[in-house]
Amino acid sequence: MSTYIVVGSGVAGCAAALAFAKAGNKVELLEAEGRIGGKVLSYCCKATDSCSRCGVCTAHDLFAQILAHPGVAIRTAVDLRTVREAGGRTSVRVGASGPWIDPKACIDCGRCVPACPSRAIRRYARGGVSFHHIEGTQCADAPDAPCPSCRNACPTGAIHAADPAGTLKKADGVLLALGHRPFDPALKPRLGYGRFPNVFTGAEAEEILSRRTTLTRADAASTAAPRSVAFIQCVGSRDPLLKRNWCSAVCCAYALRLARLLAHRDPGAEITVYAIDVQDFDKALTPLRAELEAKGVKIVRGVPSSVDSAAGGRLRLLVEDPKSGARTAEHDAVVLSVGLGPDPRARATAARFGLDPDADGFLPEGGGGVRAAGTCAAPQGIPGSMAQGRAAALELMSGRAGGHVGSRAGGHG
Amino acid sequence: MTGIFLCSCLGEVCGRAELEKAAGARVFPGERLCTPQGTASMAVSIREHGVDRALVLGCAAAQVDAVCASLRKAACLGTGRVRALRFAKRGNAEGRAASVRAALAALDLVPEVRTRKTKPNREVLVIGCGATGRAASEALASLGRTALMTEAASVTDIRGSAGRFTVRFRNVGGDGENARTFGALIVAAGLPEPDASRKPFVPGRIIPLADLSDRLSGLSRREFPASLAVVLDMEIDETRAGFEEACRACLDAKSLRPVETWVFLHDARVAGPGLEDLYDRAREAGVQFVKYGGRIRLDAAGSGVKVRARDTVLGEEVEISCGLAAVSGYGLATPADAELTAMLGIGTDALGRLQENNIRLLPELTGRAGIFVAGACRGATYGPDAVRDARNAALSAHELLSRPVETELSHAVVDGDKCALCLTCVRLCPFRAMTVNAEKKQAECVPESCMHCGLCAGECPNKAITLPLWSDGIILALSGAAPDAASVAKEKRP
Repeated sequence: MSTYIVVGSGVAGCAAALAFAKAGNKVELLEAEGRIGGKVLSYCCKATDSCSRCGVCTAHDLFAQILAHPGVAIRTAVDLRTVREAGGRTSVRVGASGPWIDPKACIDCGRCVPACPSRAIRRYARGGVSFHHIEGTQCADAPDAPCPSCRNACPTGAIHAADPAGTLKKADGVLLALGHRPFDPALKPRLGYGRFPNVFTGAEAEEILSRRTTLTRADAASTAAPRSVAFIQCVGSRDPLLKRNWCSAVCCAYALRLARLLAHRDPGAEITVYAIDVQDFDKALTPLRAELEAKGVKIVRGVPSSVDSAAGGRLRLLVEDPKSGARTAEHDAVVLSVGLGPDPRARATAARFGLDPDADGFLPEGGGGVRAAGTCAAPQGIPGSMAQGRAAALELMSGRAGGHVGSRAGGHG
Repeated sequence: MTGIFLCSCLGEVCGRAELEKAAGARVFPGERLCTPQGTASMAVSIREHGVDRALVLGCAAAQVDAVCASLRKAACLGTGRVRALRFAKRGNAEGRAASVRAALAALDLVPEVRTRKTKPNREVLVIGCGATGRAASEALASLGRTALMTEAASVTDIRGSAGRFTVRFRNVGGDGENARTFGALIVAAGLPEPDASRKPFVPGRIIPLADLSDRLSGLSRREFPASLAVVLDMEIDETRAGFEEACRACLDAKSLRPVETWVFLHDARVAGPGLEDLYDRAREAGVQFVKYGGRIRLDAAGSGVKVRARDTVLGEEVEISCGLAAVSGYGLATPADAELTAMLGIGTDALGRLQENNIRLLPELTGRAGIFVAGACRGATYGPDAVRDARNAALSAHELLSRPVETELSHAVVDGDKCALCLTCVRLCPFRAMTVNAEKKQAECVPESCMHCGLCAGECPNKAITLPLWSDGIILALSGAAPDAASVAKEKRP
């Protein structure tokens, strides 16, 4: 039996952790945030009357398995103190940046919620996964003024105090699944993000649509569904001027799925997807695109260069047209499909484990005892991240047993 | 005796006295039943008091499915013998009492289910000897597992289920067959090569893209075409593999001789590490990319090829003539090998490639346990994806074969007197669990393959099939529709 450390508890990290644990190993799953799950927890199910194969449910299944598996120990609000490598093993001193709730010990009784004087405890419950977690920025616990209220209220001892000293963990292999950071669309001010309330990022649109039926902000004056929605692809990806010259790989998929969801909720809505190239390359997306085009969702070649206000609270988009120069189009709402990019915090963490990012900032898959997987290695979707996490786990576990490959051209059975 | 385990998180569920009175049931109050300690304490009570059916009552928040699974294991109770009821914090006592009564009635009808443990065969058969198949075999070997590689063409029959597949092979030379047993199968058979003599290919003028670089390197300066067209997405939208190959082939051609090159495609598929850079390099080298919509027409005219398509960037028809055209095989609607698909008995997607379009199967699982797919045969033609799939398949096969295959014998049961051998169930079963027992002259279910979906029971014209854990009585009891004890007792098995 070996011990593995997995840093990052998004889909890639959890898929790898489960693969290690299923093979009979011990796993320390470390998460810097207060809760496990990564960004996928804020994504919505994009099914209409039928599944659109977005994969968010499979992520929840994975988290439920991780929470139930006895071989996986979870720590959240992790602060990596020191990282040392000696004799093929990695020793990590793991501290806690603040009080944290072990989601495996949490029985979701809710007693900590009213006990917290600063209302810092949140509950996550969806898709068969439920636990409480502490919002670190709101927690009033401090080294000079410790606040044990939640710990005293917890009947199972699931809440642990901040641990500045840290405990030493030794591992035979380390998997880094540090995740990504979405592009900040404020860096492209001409697209109107932050200036107009009806310009959303893809992630915002997902979060809104997971809770509301219409694509409107909670504080919007009118909750009427926008009749005409435009998706602008490649915001912050495939853009050499921003030094982000890579395809973010997931935006076409999520934009098309959100378009399908919007078209289903409001069959009369006009939906336009402005794209440079549509990346529909797997067995789910090719039929999805055909279905959308048959339903009347327009896929227009070319990405609008600016978004301005028009009469009646609408938005005017300037669309480059190679023939006529430029033309304008008006829409009620705009969704910016912001691309995935490397997370600067991941860079610092990876450097401590001896992995240096490539020119774009993504981590190499690595070798030896440290490997990277998921969106910190390359932009990819949920199934891709899980598969890469599992493949990396296999690489770390392999070489610890001997086997052989036979070949069989024909008769010698 | 039926045990009712009542978690303290619920407080008073409904009248406890009433629960106690329920015939043969005993209430065990407990703390934190959803934790491992809770499960252990329940298992102790089950053993000490000879409980053979358990009902766990907890709050809505508890991860009850996991609790039930671990309790079943800890207390050695069969599927269906442990049931959980979750109650929201608010709720009226009468409704709760009714749910508890219905669950108890259903539990009483659950028959004894035996478990069968079989030792799986340790070997894995990898079908397909290409790069994907090799990657899968190497990954298996690194996990300490023996893999045998074969070409799809030499497999003649596949029978059995997870842990025990019997595969028949054609002997070398074609005379006779031999058989061998495997624990799992990894299918990495690729896609059939595009037939260079079929439409749209014209020998010497319109050739498969895969042959382009070889062909160009063999040409003398005089024979070398002045212009070259590569066509992607001809019949179906293709993956990144064709795009990468097209860019590389054009750059290779330009490095040999100055040649005008066009790439016709629906969309530039750049979603992979390095592909955007490759696209930029190709454009800087002067490769012209034409993004077309709808159909493209290729005509071998005179000594060259005429290409006509509608350019969606300019919004107009374009027509070019070139000396040589190459068509990507990935853009042709090639389904997976039909014979192999039929032997495997697994579903296909809209393009006829292996594995259904189901998010819960991605990337390597199929509807049949023990059969895994990887690479081009499932539509993942892009090299890095295929290798990643292969490793996932190897890991899944390893996980499956590392421990005994444990099967609860709660599979579909065929009543031989009623079965008319119409084969509806055999054709319908998504998991190939229904077979024909020639001796008994009736359909029969393979317990290891049965997933208890109930399709066969629902569709059998003679109502000859039942699922023991989902008998009519149990379903009626659960839905609260069978309050009268006489009808329930009639259903009760000895």
